[in-house]
Amino acid sequence: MQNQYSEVVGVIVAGIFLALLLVGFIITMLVVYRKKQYQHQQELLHARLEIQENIFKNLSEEIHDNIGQELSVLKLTLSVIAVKKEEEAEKFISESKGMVNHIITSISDLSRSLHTDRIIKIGIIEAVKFELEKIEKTNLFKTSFSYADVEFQMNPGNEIFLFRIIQEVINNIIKHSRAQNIHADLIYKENRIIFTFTDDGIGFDVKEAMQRPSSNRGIGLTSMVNRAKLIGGQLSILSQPGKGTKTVIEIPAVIAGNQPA
Amino acid sequence: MDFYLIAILISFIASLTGLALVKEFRTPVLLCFSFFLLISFSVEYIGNDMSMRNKHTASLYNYFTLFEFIFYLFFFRALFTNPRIKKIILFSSIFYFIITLLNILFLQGRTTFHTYTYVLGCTLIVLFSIMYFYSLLKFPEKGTLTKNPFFWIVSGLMFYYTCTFSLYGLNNFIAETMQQYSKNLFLISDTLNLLLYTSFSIGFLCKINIPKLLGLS
Repeated sequence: MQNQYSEVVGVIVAGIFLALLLVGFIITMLVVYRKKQYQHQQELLHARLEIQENIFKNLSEEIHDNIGQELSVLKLTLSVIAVKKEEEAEKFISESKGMVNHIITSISDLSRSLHTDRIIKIGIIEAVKFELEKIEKTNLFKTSFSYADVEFQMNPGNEIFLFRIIQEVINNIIKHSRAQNIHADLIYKENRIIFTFTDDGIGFDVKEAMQRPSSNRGIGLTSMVNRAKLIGGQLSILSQPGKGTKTVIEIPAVIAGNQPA
Repeated sequence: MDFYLIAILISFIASLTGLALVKEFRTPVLLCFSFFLLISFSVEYIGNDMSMRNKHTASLYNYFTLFEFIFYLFFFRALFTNPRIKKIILFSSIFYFIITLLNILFLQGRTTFHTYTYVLGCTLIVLFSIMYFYSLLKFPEKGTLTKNPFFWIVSGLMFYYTCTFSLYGLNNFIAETMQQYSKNLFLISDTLNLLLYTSFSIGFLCKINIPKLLGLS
């Protein structure tokens, strides 16, 4: 009897052990799969951003080399048309020259915003300054930019990603905020640079906007958050309807000369 | 009725439920799987009945396990999209079919369980299961794994055949020399069957939206 009892216990224990083994395997598989899924999504996003950067670069070169050049020729042609000052046509030619000048400046600004190598060359601070100045020129917004007087180093690829996130933040402000003032702030804290963009616009419900399908919000807030994560950083948005918006981007960076061996 | 027979019956009912409620389950492979579960239940029922009446079941299980392995190999063939792997599985199936038939007819005989080729079959199933999990991890898809019926089915198969590899591989030896342990070992085998058919059932039920079905959402 005792023998039979121990056999039954043995079989039950073995059964439980096998069941636990199967459950353990399934849980491990689910965890690893989730990790791989995340990794795969990051890789896809990375590849997509790289392709986007290449397109931007080509587009920028096309704009600069072809359209820009043709507009310069047009400007030159307008300058050499022989008309007397008092003639009516002179007024139109002068206006046209002004318009061509304006288009050349806009196109040159666009080309500079898109060009990946230029952003790496001038650095993130100058690139952000340039973007804000560009907005200021529209006379629709007043901008200001304060930054810490430290030289930091970032991986060039990360710098481009960061700049594209910033462009998206600025773009969102222009498109949706109805703000009058935009303030950008850059500080350096514990091996991280922290960019803060504040506007005095209409604000929005962050939670609700995050849940909206991506087609309704352009490139989208979730996409910006994912891009920041991709370069080891984080992006947070603080906003409430009627109370403006504050976007904080934190990215790892090292003070120049303080790089780890 | 033995509890593992009930588990097979439940998994057959689960497969019918899954097929009735989830449109995307109505693929040839899952329809065949459901039919296969019905065959499994019938054979196991007959086998159980025969052993109750002290009749030899080796012959029945020899042919049934051969059919079972070939079915699982074709199931794996349908799972993979890589043509090279599909070809490997097809050749493995043909090779396995010939080898097992030769073994049953000429080597181990019809009245002895075909342990050699059973072990080979287990090895093939475990190998293709590992390949399936590897491909799952290498090319992860969107959505959760818990909603993937093949994940549950392959998990059950891999686990079952890893464990029964030695259990049934030593079937004849245990039956002859360690009869006192034989009963316990086959109780463990029943437990493994229970786990296998439970994972099949989960596989067929995993995509059913129960709150929607009950009108709660």
